[in-house]
Amino acid sequence: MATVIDKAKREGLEARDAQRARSSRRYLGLLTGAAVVTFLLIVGIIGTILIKGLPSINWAFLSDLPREGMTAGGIWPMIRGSLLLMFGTMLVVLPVGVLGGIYMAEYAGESRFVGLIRSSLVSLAATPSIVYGLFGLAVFVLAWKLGTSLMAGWLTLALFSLPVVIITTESAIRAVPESLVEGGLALGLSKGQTIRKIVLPNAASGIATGIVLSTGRAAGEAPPILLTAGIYYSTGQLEMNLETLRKPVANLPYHLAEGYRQGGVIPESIIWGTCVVLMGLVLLINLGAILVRARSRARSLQS
Amino acid sequence: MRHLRLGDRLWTAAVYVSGMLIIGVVLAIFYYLAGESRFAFDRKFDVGFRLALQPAKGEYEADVSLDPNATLVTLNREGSEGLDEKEETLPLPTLESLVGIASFATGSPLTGELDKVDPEQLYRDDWRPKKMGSEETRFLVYGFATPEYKEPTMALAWDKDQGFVIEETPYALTLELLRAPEGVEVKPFKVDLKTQPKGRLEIPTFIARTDADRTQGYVFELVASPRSSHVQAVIGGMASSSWEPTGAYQRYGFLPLILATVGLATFAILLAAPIALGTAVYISEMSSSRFREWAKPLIELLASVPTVVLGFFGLILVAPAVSNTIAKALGAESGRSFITAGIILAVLLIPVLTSLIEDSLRNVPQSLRDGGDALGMSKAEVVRSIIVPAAKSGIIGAHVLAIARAIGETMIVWILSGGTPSMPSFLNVREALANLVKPVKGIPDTVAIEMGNVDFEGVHYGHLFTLGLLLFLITMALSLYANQLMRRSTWRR
Amino acid sequence: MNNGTPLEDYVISARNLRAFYGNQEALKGVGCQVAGRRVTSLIGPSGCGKSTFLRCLNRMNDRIPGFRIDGDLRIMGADPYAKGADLMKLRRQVGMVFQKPNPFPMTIFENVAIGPKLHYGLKGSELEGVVEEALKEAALWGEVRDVLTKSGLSLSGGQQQRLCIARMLAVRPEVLLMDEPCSALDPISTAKIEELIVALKERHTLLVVTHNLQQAERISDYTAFFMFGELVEYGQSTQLFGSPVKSETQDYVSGRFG
Repeated sequence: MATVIDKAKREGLEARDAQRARSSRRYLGLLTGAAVVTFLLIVGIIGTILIKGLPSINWAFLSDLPREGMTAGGIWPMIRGSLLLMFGTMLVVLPVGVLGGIYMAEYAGESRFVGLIRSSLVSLAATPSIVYGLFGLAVFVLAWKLGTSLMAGWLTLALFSLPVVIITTESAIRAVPESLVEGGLALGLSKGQTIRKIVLPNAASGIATGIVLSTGRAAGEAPPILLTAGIYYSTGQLEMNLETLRKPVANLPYHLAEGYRQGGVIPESIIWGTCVVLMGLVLLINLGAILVRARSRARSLQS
Repeated sequence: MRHLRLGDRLWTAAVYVSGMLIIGVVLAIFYYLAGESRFAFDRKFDVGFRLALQPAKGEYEADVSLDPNATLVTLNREGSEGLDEKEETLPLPTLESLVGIASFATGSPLTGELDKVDPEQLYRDDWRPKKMGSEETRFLVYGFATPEYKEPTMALAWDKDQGFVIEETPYALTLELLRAPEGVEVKPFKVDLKTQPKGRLEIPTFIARTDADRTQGYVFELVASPRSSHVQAVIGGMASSSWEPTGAYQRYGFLPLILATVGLATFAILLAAPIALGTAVYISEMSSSRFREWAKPLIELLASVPTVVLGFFGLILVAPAVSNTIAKALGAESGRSFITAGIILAVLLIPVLTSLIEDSLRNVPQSLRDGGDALGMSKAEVVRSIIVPAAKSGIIGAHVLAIARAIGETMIVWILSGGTPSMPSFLNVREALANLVKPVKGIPDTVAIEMGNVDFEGVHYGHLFTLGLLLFLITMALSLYANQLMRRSTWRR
Repeated sequence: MNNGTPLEDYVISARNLRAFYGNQEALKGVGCQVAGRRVTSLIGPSGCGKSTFLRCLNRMNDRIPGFRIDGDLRIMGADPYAKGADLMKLRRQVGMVFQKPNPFPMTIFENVAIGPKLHYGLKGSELEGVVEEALKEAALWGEVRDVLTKSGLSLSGGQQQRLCIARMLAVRPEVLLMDEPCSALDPISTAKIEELIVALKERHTLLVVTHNLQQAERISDYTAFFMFGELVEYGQSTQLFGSPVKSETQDYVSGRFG
């Protein structure tokens, strides 16, 4: 049989090599082309939005109330509302999400039941935000009689970000070296104490990243707010009392989605400006989180 | 010490409760979405037939108003608020005021003696909304002519109401002559309205007579008998091909919404997949680790642009471009259409997909690359015949997950799809292409838009929750499947 | 033992070969000549440069960022690192087996067939013949002839390693490089691979990196002892293990008793 190969070696081996090299180059060229398209898209889209929107951004736009049916003035009440929604969501999701993550990382183990929990987590993470909106409407707004309100918005967005918070918390905790945990146990600390005093402080930056990232994403997501918390614009001052929790709140995504949908009425500069503010809010949060993660990844690689 | 132990116990309890909560949330979502869907089953169905006595000579008019003084009086249809309001503004006719031919209708099973029906009373009672439940329902049509009418014959005409789709009604419908007036010889008849939705029958003229306790006239009967159970009928309604929840005839067919959502997801993934796959392979197999450190976060950055912002980007920049090119070429007016929404969805999917595929390529052990290299394979050959096949299930999983993401995406479709439910058409190549520039409406955007204008706990509200439940179940199935695929591709080495 | 190839007809020759990972010098001027149709063992403590040397021979270090090489290296007369040198051709001549068996996630048949298919464009019965022959040479044919369509990953560790050897043989290389081919295997599988190595030298030139000194003594005609990036001693195995010239070699090879 070796003769078969000898024959093949004699016959046009070099031509075949050249042909293979050509087709490889073509293939690699296609891959490079795809990558170029993707990066052009990223730079093009984010760049266009920035170029179109940044000129409208000034202090007045950020701090004024909308005037003349949203065709003039600023968007402060919407920014305020989005920040309010985000921080409230963070407060609500923090305890449950972190405890849930600790459960998954340290207490769950492997069983059929835990498999069920994992499957639930996976499904929840992929559940569309509009479904959370419907759930929030049925439960918080109607059944709990909270009405369309800031409270209902917090609870809905907290649920929406819960799976991601749990997943990131779990992986942040798993990234804590086992030796630290063993050290804690060796000191005679109980499991709970070890987790609270040793594991959590070490995982804190990873956990915080996850929470900020997911609530940031939640704050940019329109559908849940649409059904549970939103009015699409407001010109009022924020009242600092408990009643505010029961009132609907104006916010950026709903403002964009509903307020500007009628084409031609709202000046484009305001639309682009609002896009930049919303995108900036979410992207800055993301960028921060990505950098923190990259740094901690680099640190863990070094050690 | 005791105090510490209590703290630990509380801690453990809190941790376990939070863990269990995850299953609780899934069950609660299912429970509430399914629970609120029950309101869909309050749906009442339309009968949608117009019957009339009219002159035997002269053309039959198809379009007849609801004016009671006209020659044609439409049979009631239930559940319409608009008609109720209209009725209040119309003067009730008296026998004396009627000229020509009149007919009266009732929508509920008559109680008491047929002979003693007072036409005026009948009229007044029976424009009310009727619940058409699961039982057989009889509509009586009581007809006669007034003395001014001199012809020896008159005609009973029937016609399906505009917008009423007889194929979709859960009733079998028949029209029958129940009773002729005394002294009138007429052949009995019975018509199956499903096979004969429009027709006309000549009968001898009968001039109305009333005395103290009895009104004389023809009594026709329209029988609507359920073909299927009410639950089946509601589900059948969901399976139909028209979504018009606010029209004269409410119709809650999910089909156009499902097809739009699935079609958009398919279109977007077909557009995004080659680019994302190429980019992911490039980043994972061809670039330096330094480049990768930059590229991954950049891609995640695009993935995290709020979709409502992407939507407006598409609305202001992509929609006009589409409208000037493809839409114009295919004879559509607006740039808000299937293809515009599909393109921007693809823009959303590219980074999502790239990131997921790259992860699964990086999971392929280095030893396989070494093995390929050592065999003298070129880089492209290693990638194409070893690395990509080795990561196959992970790559498929990534696509499945991306499809789930596209199916659930609300704002892009809301802003860009044109918001009109429509069924695709594949009669010929041109029509098939024209589907691309048709406005469509998908499941999530329908829920988001219409929930703002519904009566809570009404039929429409119930249907929107059913759509939400459908979305939840579809994305759940897809994500579980994707997860299984991606776990399978994890190399344990 | 010494029939066939004359000693001067070296398959591999290196002169003052230096290799660097970034600033770190992994090979500090190695020179040696390897004769054809022999088994040569490369031994030495971890990090001594024996694997680096092996990987220079088929340029497997190319993927590592910051790697560069200096000095003179000839494989069958050609410089593999010359400008415009053909990697495909080099690796057709110089095959390699790794420490951990790394069968591709495809069927057993496809694992062996992929090389000849790509390199020689073989198809159909010719391809089947080459695959069968390679599997026979790798002493695996009897075990897998009925399961050729099963995944290569379904085999045991030792079988996987022999599959990798068959995969390499199917391309008909002259030189076979083996980087600790038995270290992940159990003793029985190890013995089979050792037998195979000895059998293969009839037609091939083999270089085997090993940590196992007894194995080196058992299978190899020549042995090269590396330490701190230098080739300390190189000679016939019987001589190197029996009466080493250098004291470092003496210390190392006697370490097996201590």
